[in-house]
Amino acid sequence: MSNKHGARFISFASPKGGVGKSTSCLAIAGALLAQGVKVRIIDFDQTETIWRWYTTSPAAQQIANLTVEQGPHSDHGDYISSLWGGATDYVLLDLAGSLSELTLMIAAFATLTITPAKVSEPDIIEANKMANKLHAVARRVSKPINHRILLNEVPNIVSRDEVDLIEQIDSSNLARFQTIIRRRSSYSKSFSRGTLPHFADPINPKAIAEIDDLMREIDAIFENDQLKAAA
Amino acid sequence: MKPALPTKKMALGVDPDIMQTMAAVKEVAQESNIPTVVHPKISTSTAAPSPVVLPAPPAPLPDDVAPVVAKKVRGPKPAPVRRTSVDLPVYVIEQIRSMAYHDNKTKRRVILEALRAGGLTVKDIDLEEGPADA
Repeated sequence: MSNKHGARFISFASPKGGVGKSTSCLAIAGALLAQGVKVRIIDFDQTETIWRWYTTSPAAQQIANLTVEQGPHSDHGDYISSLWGGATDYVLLDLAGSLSELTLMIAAFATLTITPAKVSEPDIIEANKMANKLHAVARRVSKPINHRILLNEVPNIVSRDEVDLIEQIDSSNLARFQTIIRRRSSYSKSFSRGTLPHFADPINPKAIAEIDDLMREIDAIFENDQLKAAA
Repeated sequence: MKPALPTKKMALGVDPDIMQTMAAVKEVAQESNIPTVVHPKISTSTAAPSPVVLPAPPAPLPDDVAPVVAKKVRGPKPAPVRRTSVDLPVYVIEQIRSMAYHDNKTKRRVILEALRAGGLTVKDIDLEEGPADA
């Protein structure tokens, strides 16, 4: 859902760690900042990946219109209420790699929840678990919850098994982005160099192209929501 | 005497939609035994270290018992390799180098992948980086 200020909340949630939540969060943050919008990242992950990225990197702190903060470790209910009431522009929520009530709550509130997953069975099973829980919440509130799987770190050459897995996802009720994020050093460089793919020097045009494709899909989801709300 | 007001915090001014979603999430979490929060508590105080109990050293093996050696797990092995050299246009070499840099791969892998894409047989295991590439 979006609030009265039209803020858009994108959460990155998976019950499994190491799937690329923080990496894709930063990639999308960079794409949004390149569009000239304000981005607020809230790091709820106990590993503090993004918080550490921001606080230890002077380059990151100099990116205009970007703020990074840590989520609270308690009083989540009040925090979520005030966040949803007062936020503006884009709020990206990087959640812990585990399934908790907090993760589920933030994912349920978000305008869009993205579950990154590598093309591997353990990642897809966990993504499916996340989708099931969100569907259960959606049924109870009688409102759809936008949830998409983002296939991440896909190698340039995929094996027959990996193709089968993608086909299984497509034939299931799991919704995924058509854009797939390839395994590229430009994503890991976000952390080692304290920047974002869109602000790297030099930029990797292939990485930028796929993030921009992903952003087009995200924008289409938001526009669709707006049309439904207006109807 | 009036009864004391309940100390329960009232959700004044909270959007009913938010309340409904929170209630639904709590229901689903309870049904599925999902924990409330899984953040480990970060301790700010330093506790005195507990005395460390060292495990007893293993008893020496009798002389007539052969030590157990874990069997090596055998899997598919990469094919033998041989060094070869070909003269390529400089701009092609430059593209191989650039692609390897951008995709974070070895030049060997870039070439093998291109050959495979061109129809040659290159097994997955032979795409992996060998000791020579490390």
